[in-house]
Amino acid sequence: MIRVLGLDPWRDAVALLSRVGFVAQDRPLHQGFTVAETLEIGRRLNPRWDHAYALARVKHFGLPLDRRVRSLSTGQRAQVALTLALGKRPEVLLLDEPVANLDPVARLELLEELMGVVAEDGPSVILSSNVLADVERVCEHVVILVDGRVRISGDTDELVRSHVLVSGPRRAGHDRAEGEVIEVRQADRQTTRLLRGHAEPSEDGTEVRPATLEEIVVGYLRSEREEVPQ
Amino acid sequence: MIWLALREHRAQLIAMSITTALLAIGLVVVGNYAAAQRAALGVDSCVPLPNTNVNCADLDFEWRQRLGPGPYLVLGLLFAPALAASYIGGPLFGATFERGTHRLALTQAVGRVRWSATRIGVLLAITAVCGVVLAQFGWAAVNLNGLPGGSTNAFSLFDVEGPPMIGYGLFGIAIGGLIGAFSRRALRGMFLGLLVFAGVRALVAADLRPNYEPPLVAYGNTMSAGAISAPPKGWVLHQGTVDAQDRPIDIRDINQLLRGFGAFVAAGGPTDMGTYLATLGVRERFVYQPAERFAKFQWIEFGIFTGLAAGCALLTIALIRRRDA
Repeated sequence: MIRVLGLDPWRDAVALLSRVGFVAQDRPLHQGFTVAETLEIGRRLNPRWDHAYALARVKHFGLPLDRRVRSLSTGQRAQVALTLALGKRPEVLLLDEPVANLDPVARLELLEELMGVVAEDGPSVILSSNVLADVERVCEHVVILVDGRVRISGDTDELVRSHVLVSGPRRAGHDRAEGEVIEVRQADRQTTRLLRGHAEPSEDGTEVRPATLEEIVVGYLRSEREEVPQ
Repeated sequence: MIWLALREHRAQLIAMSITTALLAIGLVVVGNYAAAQRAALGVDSCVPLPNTNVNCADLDFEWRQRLGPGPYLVLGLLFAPALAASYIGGPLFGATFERGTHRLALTQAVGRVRWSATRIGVLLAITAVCGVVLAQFGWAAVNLNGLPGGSTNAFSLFDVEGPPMIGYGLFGIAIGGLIGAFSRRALRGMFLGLLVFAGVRALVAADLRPNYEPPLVAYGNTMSAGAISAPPKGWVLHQGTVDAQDRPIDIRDINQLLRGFGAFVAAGGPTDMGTYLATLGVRERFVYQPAERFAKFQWIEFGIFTGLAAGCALLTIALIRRRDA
């Protein structure tokens, strides 16, 4: 049975909801509500709501309380939605694609803000994202899902450390590579392998460098569709 | 949660209140005007001229001229619940699911049952208030229709006065809400809600209402000058000529029977065909609901629609409770 914070998500739904914050990808907000009214929803519907904190937060982001949600920018709406989720002082914060549709500046600000929140109050943040560079920057633990199944799960740093990209001439044997070959890409004269393990550069022109999280994930996603040549 | 339901539907609630108020004020003004004009013209105290009632018909015509489009206000009473069904019931859950804003409320510390029950409860409560208000203005519709001098059927304004008005409103909101919640689309909720509402209303009015209690039967003379008399103000469901054995007969049967009329008159009988037919047992048969049942029928209809509304509301809550977000 799945338990969240020790509670049954079906039977104790309401008790659990007061401890879990959630922001959906499209950040649903009532377009006709003002910022103040949106926060009022949180205040009235959550027993643990911290109104002073929520107000301070929107003030910090320069969001006028009397502005209607529909007249806010996408980035501002994201902040309002996040404030609504954070105002209840959740122990777990679920974010579905939190930076989708945001411009680069707003995206960076939101991520920095999130890292600040985690450092300050300590809710666990679980976020889903396709922007892997962001994930690599802010997430401690990463789970890669392919077709709804966990393909890989682990500590982000550990994951990045344990994978290397080995590239060299096509015919090279990579004798000095050890570990599981995740994916092989053939270019004109060059073969690139994503390797879970480690490898040493060799004289035949083989180069080895650490893989980025994006390269690792892409490697796993592609390998799902292709046979790995042995 | 009540605050949120009220705030979310602020525009609809304001529109509903304003519509109710305007309709009520309009009915008071026009209803009083209609009665005053009718009295001033003396429509109901008119004494027909010998051999013709054209003088009274002219007065009635003049009265209707003076009312202008006033009587159309009664249509407002008829359409108000249908509009509520469509414009408020349909989007109640349909629009929320369509825009995804239900996730906003349902990820606060609020259960699905409380969320859906509060929304529908608040809307139904306010609809009931508007219904109670509108149910008070049946007299204006009566005035506009020319009653008591006008129609001879106490049931003719059944749909626009009294307690059923409240039931119609509640059912309209609830059926729109149910279809909206089921289809998760505001437009489908609005359109299908209106369609089902109108369908059920028509079905109840045509098939159930005439039989809330077994209809009564009355007889009157047939073909006598001025003698065909339906029960006063009753709602005549069916009228036809029957013979002595209560079998329906048509004009050909009557013509057949009238062949003996000449001999009957020659034998010194009255020269009235109706009287002659009566001696043969031919009568006019009325199947009707008496006027005294009007109030009872109104409450029965109120009960049916309020019950349907409650059923729809409970189904909606059950549907939302079981559904994945």
